[in-house]
Amino acid sequence: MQQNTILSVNDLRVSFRAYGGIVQAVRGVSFDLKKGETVAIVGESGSGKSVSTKAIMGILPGNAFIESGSIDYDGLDITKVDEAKMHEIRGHRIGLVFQDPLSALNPIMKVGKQITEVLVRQGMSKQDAHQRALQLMKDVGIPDAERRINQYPFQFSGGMRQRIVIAIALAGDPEILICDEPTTALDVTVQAKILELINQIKEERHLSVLFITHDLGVVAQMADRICVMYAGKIVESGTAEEIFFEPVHPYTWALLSSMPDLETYGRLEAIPGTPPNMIAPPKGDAFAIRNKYALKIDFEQEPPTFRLSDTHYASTWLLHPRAPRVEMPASLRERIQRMKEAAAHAQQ
Amino acid sequence: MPNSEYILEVEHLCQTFTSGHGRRKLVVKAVDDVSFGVKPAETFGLVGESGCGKTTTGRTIIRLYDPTSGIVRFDGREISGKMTKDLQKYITENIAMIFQDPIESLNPRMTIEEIIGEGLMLRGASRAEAHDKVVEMLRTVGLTEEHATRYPHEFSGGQRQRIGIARAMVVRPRLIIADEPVSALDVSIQAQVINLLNDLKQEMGLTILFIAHNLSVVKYFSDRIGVMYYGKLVELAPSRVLYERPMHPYTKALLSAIPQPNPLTERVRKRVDYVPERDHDYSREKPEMREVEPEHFVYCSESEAKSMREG
Repeated sequence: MQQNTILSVNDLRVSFRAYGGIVQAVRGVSFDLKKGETVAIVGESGSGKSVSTKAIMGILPGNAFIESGSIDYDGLDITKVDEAKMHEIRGHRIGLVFQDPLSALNPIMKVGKQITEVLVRQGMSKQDAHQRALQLMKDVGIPDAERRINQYPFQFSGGMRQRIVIAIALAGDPEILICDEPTTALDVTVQAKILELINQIKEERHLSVLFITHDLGVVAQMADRICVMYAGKIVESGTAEEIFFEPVHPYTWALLSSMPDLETYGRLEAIPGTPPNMIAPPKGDAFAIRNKYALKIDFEQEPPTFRLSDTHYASTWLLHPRAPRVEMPASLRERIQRMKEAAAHAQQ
Repeated sequence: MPNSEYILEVEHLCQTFTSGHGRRKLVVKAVDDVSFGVKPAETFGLVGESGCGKTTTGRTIIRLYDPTSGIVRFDGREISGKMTKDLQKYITENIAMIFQDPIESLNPRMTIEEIIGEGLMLRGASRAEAHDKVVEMLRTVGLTEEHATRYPHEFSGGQRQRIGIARAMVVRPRLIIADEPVSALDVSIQAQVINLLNDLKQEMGLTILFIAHNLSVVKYFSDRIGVMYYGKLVELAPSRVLYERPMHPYTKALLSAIPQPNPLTERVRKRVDYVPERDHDYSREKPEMREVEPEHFVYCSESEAKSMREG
């Protein structure tokens, strides 16, 4: 483990026992989270991004099991510690912000009590915990905290509820904050405020943030580094600039060009087909059947991970020295050109 | 006045919902004096945040709700009046709707053939005729004949939305009201459904009222866009103009809040807030829809319009 790495996931494999068989949700995921940085995991639903974070938090559902791999945090392997030790880590050292603020909160408990719960468990007196909760609510931008602390979740709007969830996640003073699609249920203007808040508290508290999302716009705003997941694997990882401006994996290309930006006029480059069934993942590269650049070997053998730079890695046979040279689609290259021009324009 | 330029005309449409009685009575103006027109073969986008009344507008037009006041005309005929058998027939023959949630909007106990063919059968088509049309429609939306005998739970989200589209299209409507047709789908599937809608629109010369909150999708898909805020239409312009020269402060705030997939511009992006009390002074002048430049309407007072015209 490197000096400033605080969380390291190594070759994690998580499967579910399901009605039709064993679902291989995460199939060998490795990444590091360094101090003070934001790592975003991007992928479609079913790509295994949420399952990976649940494994880190130790809140996998009962029918899930970790097949192999380790999650190293603070000299411990989280996948092996007992529940009592996990209690010390979860909430206190690693905080979690859920996607849906309404179902993450207890509807019949006042929000103040939900924030102080973790503090009182830590052994803080009720009065101190109350003061701390008030401070936390002010920190996350809830006006009139003295009155609001005695209200119930239904009395808050969606954005305010998500602020409460963030306050709860911060209550234990964690050093890692995991945000699992924190703004998917919110409106754009509310989303913008919540993202700004997460960035602000990250700076103030020197947090490391693991950010899960499917929205590339949100990723661009938040991430220092990005991992693109497909069918339980990380297919490409790199800094935000590398992923957005120099993508090499066909799935990343497809993901980037499948959504219109404000300057898109022609036909969209849709990805044909649907993600594979993870009960019987396809042999070889899982993306091969939807990939128009797929090579013969893609259907037979899983691609190894190629290193492009110290930070940029991708798993695709296209990078093999003997593979035919394939350029990214022209429409995407034009879009990247536009993005660079827009950036140059914005910096003036 | 009926305007022959438009196929769908909405004039001063209001839709209120009431709850409670007596002192507790609460009236919510979901749609408040909204007027716009949709030209034939045009895609008109309605955007706004949740609760702004965009969905209610669409549902009122197709008469899922009875309008509180105002007039809606389709092809010159008023469709907002008293509901008669004849009017109902007119509406269902001409207007169809695609719903947001592809799971909730399909009856789980009906097969795909029954779901898609229901509209045809109600119109007196024989079983065989309906079957042929259903199969043809399934092919058009990218499904196959074998899918006809299956039930909705056997399909993925994207396929279900295709079924929803097939159900709307099979009766050959002239206007489609698409209420957030892609927002429940995954990114890679969204593009497929958007392309499908685009193809159908071009092949059949459809007019579409496109309701969505994703501004990039609306911009890509629509010819003209109306922006709604708290039940009011605040700005209406051709889509390019709206994004290049937004005039209303709410539109500006909304546009500045969209995160763009570009890490370099995202780091320097400045967001503006919309605070109605700060941005407007309507104590002396009443705001209304005013044409600030040709085809570009903004809900504002006369003095605001003047400063906008001067730029």
